[in-house]
Amino acid sequence: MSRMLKFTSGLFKNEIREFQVMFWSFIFPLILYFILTSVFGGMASGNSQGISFNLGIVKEENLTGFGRVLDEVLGSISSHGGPFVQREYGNLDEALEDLKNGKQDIVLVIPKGTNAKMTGSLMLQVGDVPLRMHYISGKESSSIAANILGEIMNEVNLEIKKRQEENYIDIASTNNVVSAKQEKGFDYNEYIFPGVALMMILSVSLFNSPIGLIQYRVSGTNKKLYTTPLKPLEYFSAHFVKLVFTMLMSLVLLYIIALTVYRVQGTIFDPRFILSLIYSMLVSVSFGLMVASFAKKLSTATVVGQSLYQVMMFMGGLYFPVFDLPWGLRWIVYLLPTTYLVELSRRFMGYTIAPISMTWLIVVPLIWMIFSVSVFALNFRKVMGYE
Amino acid sequence: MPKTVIDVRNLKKHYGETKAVDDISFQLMEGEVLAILGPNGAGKTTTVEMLEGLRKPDSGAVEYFEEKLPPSSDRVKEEIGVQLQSSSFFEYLSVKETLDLFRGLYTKGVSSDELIEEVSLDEKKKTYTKNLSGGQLQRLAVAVSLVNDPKVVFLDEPTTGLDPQARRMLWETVLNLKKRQKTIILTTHYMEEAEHLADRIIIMDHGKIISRGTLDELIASIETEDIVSFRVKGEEEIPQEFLQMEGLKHVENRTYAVTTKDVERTLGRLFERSKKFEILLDDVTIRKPNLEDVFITLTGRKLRD
Repeated sequence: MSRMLKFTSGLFKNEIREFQVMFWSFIFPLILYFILTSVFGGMASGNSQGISFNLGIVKEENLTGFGRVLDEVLGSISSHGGPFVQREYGNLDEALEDLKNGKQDIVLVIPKGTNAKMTGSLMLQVGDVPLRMHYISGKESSSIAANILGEIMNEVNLEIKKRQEENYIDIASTNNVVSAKQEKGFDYNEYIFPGVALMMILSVSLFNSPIGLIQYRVSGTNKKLYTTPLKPLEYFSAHFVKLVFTMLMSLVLLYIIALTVYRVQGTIFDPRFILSLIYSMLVSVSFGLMVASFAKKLSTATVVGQSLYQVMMFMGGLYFPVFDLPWGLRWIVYLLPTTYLVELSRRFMGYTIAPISMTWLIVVPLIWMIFSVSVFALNFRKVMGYE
Repeated sequence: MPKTVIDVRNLKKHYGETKAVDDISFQLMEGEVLAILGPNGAGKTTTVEMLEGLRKPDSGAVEYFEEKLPPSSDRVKEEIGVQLQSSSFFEYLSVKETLDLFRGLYTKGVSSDELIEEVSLDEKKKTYTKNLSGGQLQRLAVAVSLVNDPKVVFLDEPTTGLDPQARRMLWETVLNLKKRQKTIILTTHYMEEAEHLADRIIIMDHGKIISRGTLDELIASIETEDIVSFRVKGEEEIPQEFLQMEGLKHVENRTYAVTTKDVERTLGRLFERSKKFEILLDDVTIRKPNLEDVFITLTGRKLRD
């Protein structure tokens, strides 16, 4: 045991000093975490203010009397939770200048005579109220703002018309919100955490593990080791412990960043979540050992490891939901163990993304693990390089 | 009476049709330095790797010590030290860390500092192995083979690729081990190395032992007292009639050698023929035979061909 531990310590020291190992196991996943959360961090977040547009208003006369109806409508669409942020301008030129400069998405002009026309429309049921909208066609936010404001004005028209009808019956309705099983709000910073954690695990298991085993075999280091009392099984155990230790170190680093920088909630300390990460480690390490069983050369292991790494990351749904992909690609999604592993972790965080039952989330990676370990066991002598 | 340390009997190892080691037997005594000499591909490395337990023989036996232990036994692994032909260590461990790591794999041994001093790597103690030169790596490999204070040391071509100074330094290390009564098996294709270090020499070719004995016994076995060697000057073709001289062997390029028991008579005949065929001779030397001559006599070719 002591021999194995001494060897593990040497092996770990040797690998941790290698820049490539440091970069792929520790630095790169954190960089990706920063990038992904920076780009998508605000997406549908619980703290999000939602999408809003800048609305410039030019009133050529102050709204009074029935004209105040418009004021109320504009006030309601600009208050907390509304889609517009309102700013009033003294003259049209200034407002149009800001529209051109991108400071406003849309400018609404309330012309002179609006109060009188509103009164005529509502009381005497004659005439229109000619409001003018200015927006920049071809600019997405400006066009969307124009559409939304147009729809709101149509609703106002409809409301006015309803009130003009003598037989109009106002039906009071109540909105019943049907709550889904997913009770918490979506937070990308939290959603991405199991993805980055699994990516760190994959970095170690698909790069460090097969490359390490093959490199030492090809270079002849293993041969030298087998002239010592160190047994192949002890050597392999040391390799395994080293991998797990590297993974744990990288995960601790990720936890620190997630807790301090992104304020990820305590769900990541849920014992079931931690168990799911340990399960991911075991499955991934087995997968890496299977790669080592097939690859004779270092270059083959690098290419196979890199390809599987990319496929398992992106098609496994580590960063984005992948169940909307076309069927041609979706069967790959269903084949990958990472699809199930990341979903399993997310379930324990309170997210249900994939339409897969809990049983399958455990069984499919288990099948992969048994298969991979069997392949490795059959090729153990070849992989470890001894007669 | 010295004890038998290794007993090798009828060892065979084939790779397909190739007979890498073809039915060899020998014994190694305690405190003895045995050199296995032969050209590349002779089967030297395969032989020592079977002795080290790295390869399984197709047939035959290797037994260690009085207990007749197989090479794979823990006791044997504890008692042997191996320097492989090509050394590769953990690149990001220093010289000292490498020695400490290997020391940790044995139950007994010597301190890394002592070994570093012995192989003169003091200045490189903290250097990562990836930054060592070829010679320094070879010295480290020898140091690693001694980390468990072994009874038997295997040195597989330890000086290949080293400059003369580094080679001399390694020879000194081996001679020091010899003084400490270590049993050493040395493979080499440098005859001077075998001559300088070995008590007994085995010559291998095509997987077989073609001769064995002490240096004197081997030289005596070719029944040659002296060798007259010479070079033919110029670049024109050498007449075949001249080359038909009795006992004449081609060495390299335009250099030839004649083995003889009567130097005077051989020289007389040589000059007579050179005059007859109008050939100019250069570098005419008379010397005692060496291992190279033994090898040429036995195989008809040079050791490094």
